[in-house]
Amino acid sequence: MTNEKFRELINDLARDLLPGNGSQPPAVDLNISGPPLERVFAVRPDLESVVTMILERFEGSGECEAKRLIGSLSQSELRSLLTVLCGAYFLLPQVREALGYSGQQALTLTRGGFGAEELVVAQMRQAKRYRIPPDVESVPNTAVDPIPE
Amino acid sequence: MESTDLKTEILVVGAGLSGAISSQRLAQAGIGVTCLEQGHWNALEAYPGNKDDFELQVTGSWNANPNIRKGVVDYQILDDSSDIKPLLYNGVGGSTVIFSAHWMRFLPSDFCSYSLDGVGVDWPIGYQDLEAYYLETEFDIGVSGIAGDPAYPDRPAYPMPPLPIQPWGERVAGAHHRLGWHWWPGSNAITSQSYRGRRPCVQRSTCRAGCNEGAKGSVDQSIWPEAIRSGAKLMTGVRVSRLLVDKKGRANGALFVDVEGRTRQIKADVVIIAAHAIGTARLLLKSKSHAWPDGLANSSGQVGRNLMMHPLSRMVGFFDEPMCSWQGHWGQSIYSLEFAETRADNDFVRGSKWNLSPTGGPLTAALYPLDSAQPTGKNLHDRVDEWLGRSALWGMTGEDLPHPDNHLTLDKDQLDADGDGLPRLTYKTTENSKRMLEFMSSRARESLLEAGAYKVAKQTLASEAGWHALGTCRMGDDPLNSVVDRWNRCHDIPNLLIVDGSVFATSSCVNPAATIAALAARAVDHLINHCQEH
Repeated sequence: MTNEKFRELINDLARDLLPGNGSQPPAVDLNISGPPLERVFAVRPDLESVVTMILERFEGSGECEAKRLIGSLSQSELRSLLTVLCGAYFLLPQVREALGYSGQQALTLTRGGFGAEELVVAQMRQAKRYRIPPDVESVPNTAVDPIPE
Repeated sequence: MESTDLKTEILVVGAGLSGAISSQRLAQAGIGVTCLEQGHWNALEAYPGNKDDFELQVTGSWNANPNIRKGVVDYQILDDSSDIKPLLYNGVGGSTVIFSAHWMRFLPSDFCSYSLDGVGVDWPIGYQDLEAYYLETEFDIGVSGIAGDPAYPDRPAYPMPPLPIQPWGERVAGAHHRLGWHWWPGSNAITSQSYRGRRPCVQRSTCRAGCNEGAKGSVDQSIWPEAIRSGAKLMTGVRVSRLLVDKKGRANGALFVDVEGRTRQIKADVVIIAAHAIGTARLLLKSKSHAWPDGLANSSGQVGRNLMMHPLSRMVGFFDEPMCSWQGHWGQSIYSLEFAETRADNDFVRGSKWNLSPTGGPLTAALYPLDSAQPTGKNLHDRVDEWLGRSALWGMTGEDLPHPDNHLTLDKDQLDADGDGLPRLTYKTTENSKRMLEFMSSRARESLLEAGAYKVAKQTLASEAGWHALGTCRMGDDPLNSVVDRWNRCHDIPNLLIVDGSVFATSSCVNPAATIAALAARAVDHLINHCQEH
């Protein structure tokens, strides 16, 4: 499969899988089958062959067949395909901006306490709730039928 | 095989939590200790948490499942017969590199489930035997939390105050207060302030693949530097293939494959195995011989049996206010032990520990495996909108009772590099666990709705959740039905110790790391104090 054909098929699937929803843009508008996809395969090279196999089944079916193909995928194939497409999509700055997501940031811990302190005090006032074990030495340590069914 | 003069007083196999604790204590006591570790030591920069593709990396090369990660130091684990897939890490720090750092002591009742509830077995030791070691190792690792939890016996202050419980934690804490249910700020092996040269947590929420700050108490950061300063030797990239026993039936070293692929030998007076409940049982079974046809130290037939995996359900609550819930420590914000003990009115025995956590970034939101079908198209976008920053997640871990049919064996057909069978897990979730998790899911739903969630979503049984493999070489007083004694010495070979989670007689419902650490510290202190006996 040529790279160009590969990208066309990816775009066909992306139209269906990541069409946008008003707040998030359509994946195909962001050239998802280009550099974003290459970035994903750099991190997950193992998925390239999986996706290629899926696309080979799709080749020649045309855009209108995307839904049918997606419906025919096994759970694991769909997960692989979505990992690739979503992996590429949610790395894009335009998408992150649309979501208000700035990535996993390093923050300085607040120094104003851990939160809900008054409720912790209320918990502290509760009676002890753990069970007191019997004298272990007096109980035989024997295996028994362990699972009540 | 190359002849070798490698010799040590004590050999430790595995540089994870229990191997690190053991090596540190032995070195501090002035005893010669060498630890062999098949993986490598990651630099902090190698961890993916501070990279923008973090979420993608944890689906691949930083996946917790070694069968997916397929690192060069990982060994394949056959898990098609297991409801729960094993998650572990091979390298300095072991699975503490990828753990979420929940640091929980066992409850006192956890040591005597048989005498209290008629299930499982009693441990030969109790909470009081580990209490001092729990405390010492909390300081060694660097644990943050607050004393006073009524679910536990009284205890001294933690080394550090708790981390912020976050907006979602405050909401759920309020809900439990109204419901009259237990909750408590999370105790985590994560620094909440500068601690012994380590930086405080930056709340990046990427704990599950190392910590770039060194704030998480994975033992590559918290224990090994001190162990090495004290004189412990650590060899990395070396894979132990066999344990050796002399003519008198005493452990005397190991064969290992070094970084150049050469098989070598190391001799030792005492051998300590700390290779994870899967790795340790595997190594004992691989080390079978004419004298030990069923595997080393396996006269009881219990090596590999009683595998416990801690079945886990999850409940996600969706809130209508932004809470930035992709940030925060991935360790627990709060926990609840409301349903941790057996209750007469339940149709199951024992109980569950709940931990509330943040919910990750957009890729996690898009692909999180819930009971409902994987969304695609507009539904996928909508799920991300609803989830990202506006959700919180209860994980409900059920106590897993030991059953001999849940076990690890070596496969007859699929072989490893040494020509031995690959480890195969056979594990079925019991009816008791299924009933328990169903009950917990219903209660967690109540909890989140009371906290203000406008809807919830459920994962009944998480398959990619086998962080807590336990029990494959269980502890007991009776050599006929246990592998190690109360001091972690193999009944069959007293100078062979097992110090990892494989010795758990029962699993509790809480996270096992604190108890693994305390048991290892106790075993090694006993070894140090009774050297002549070994």
